[in-house]
Amino acid sequence: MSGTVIFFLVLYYVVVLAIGYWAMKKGAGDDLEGYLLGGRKVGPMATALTLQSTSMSGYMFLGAGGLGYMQGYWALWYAAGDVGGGVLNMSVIGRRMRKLSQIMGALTAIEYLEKRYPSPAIRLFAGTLTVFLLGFYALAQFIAGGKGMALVTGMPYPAALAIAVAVILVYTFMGGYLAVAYTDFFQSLVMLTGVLWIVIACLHELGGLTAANEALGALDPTLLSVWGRGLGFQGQWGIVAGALLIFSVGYMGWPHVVTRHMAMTRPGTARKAGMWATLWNLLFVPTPYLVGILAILILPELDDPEMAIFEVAGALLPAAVTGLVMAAIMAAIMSTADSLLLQTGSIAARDLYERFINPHATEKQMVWVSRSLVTLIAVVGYAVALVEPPTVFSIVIFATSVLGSAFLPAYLCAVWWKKANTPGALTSMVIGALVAFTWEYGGHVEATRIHPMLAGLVCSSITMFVVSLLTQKIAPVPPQVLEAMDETAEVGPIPPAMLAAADFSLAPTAGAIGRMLNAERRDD
Amino acid sequence: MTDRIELEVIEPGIDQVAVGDIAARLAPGSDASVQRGLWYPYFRFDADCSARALFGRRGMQLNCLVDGLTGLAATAPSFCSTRDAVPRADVLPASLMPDAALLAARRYLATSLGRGFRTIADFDIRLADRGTIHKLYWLVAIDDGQVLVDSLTGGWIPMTARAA
Repeated sequence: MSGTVIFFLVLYYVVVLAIGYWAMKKGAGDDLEGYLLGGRKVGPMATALTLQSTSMSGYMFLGAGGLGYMQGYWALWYAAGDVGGGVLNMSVIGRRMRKLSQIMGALTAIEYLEKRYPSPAIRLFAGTLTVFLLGFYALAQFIAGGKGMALVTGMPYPAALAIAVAVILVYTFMGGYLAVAYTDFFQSLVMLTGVLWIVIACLHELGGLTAANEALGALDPTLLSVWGRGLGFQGQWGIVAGALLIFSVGYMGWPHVVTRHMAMTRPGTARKAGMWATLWNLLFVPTPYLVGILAILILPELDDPEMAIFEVAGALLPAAVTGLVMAAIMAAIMSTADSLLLQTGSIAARDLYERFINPHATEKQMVWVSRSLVTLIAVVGYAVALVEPPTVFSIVIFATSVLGSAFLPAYLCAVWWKKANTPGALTSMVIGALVAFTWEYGGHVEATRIHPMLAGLVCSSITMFVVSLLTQKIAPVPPQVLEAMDETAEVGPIPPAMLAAADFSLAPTAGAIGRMLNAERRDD
Repeated sequence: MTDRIELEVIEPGIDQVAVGDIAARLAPGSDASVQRGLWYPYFRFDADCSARALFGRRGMQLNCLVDGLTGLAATAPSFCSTRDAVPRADVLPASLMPDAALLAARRYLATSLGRGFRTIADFDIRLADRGTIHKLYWLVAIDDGQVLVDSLTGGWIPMTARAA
């Protein structure tokens, strides 16, 4: 890469730092603090774009592009599920989870599971599994960061990886102060502009989409099919279903994603934010896959297909634009990595250390536990990424398949099925995780042609229903949970317009007042 | 004569007339009537929070209120408080112990600051106990349902069962 690319990359970060500094100065007012502590005073568009910039990880720039490069249009099955996943997630469990977690007083997604399915075993298993998988997911971001840094700076991969991991660590321990609403919003716009710019450059280079498709067809007609290169996935609906499920309903099983519902206030705002997020997804999500497909024609001899987007940007865009796009990609990787590491550290400290090891832990001790674990993940991650780096695609698909399979029935039934009990949830989580894991590493995918996500999800769902029904008598759902679910489900006979603008943060107050006045009435 | 009690209260921004107007505007054509006001207890803390940031030490002052019935903590925008005599029958008693309230406030602030700033930092959180304070909520009947209206923000939520 040229000096111009590096100059514009540095310039991008100077602008981000300047926005951060300005935001901090401005933050003496209420806006910033309101956003940080309660999501107040930030409009639906900024909320949506901020969320999207942190949820779109290095996978989109390496895994998605690599898959498109290897499989052609078949890759778009993954994009199809992803486009509507966020909105589906928000509409199926969003409002109810927000109310239930408020009523039960849960601060984290793992604590919420324990309160809904009362048992320390739930929190221990869910917390441990999440720490492991989110740590694994962070590994993908390290590899993505290292590869990107190596390409941009021309450094050897080991040194670039070390710098990328170190920057991500510093960003997590300190730099997060800058990554607030304003910088996230700016980054999401640059990410979107960047990928659209690359795809337009690709189409311009190839003479339009029709010409590109004709060239692809001439090269290998199977690249245009929905069954992958060489029709390798022909008739394998079990794989296709898994590809669709993983980023659509799969989101509902990710503790680090469902946490967002707990911070949602007004359904009206959430609905508008969902619309903005869907619009952003429609433009952004399919594009990296498409760039990967078009890269087959532009750079047919790539050694590492996951570098398709970086390489195409370097080959087609002016150096200044390449610098900006590279910076946006690195920013996306870093902001996702720091979110994952923060969640991992927080779960380890609050849901495991404070809950099971040291209930009287001070905040200092918990920060120490968080930082130690994050540092350990970074060291182990560096070693793995250096010795035998798996592909970003395989890591992300594995981690999300296990997370979705293990937790989706538990989170979904928590708000929608009153008979879902503790034994049902616990066995469902264990079976879901085990099946998805063994499916991937036991060679069952090749043997059955069924995606690990689909296999894991079917098994964990059946387990949840069967075990819950069989154990209703020995492990009934506690009355306080049933009461909280009743309050969550009932919305009261008021006009729909009023309901849409209701303030969910008042749910616990309304519940407490209702209970107290009903008790008074009974006493009278 | 109504038995009254003097309390520290958050000055309501929305009185009975205004809440009736809001209900009528939000549910035009519905039969809306203000049933009663209820004074809800909170433990109030002034929180002085700070941590090292990239551009030097960053500090912020926050109001933290802990729900006197459920133990849930939350930050609150600035508000004016006053001492006022209110009907004793409309005051809800706190069931939470002050020690538990202090713990809930500290835990909530530490979690929220870490999550909000997206960082693992040792926040210095100093809490000054300002005692209990009460906030007025209005119960409004609309058709066959009932909503609870926050007298400070004007936010509302449907009650799940008829409470009075």
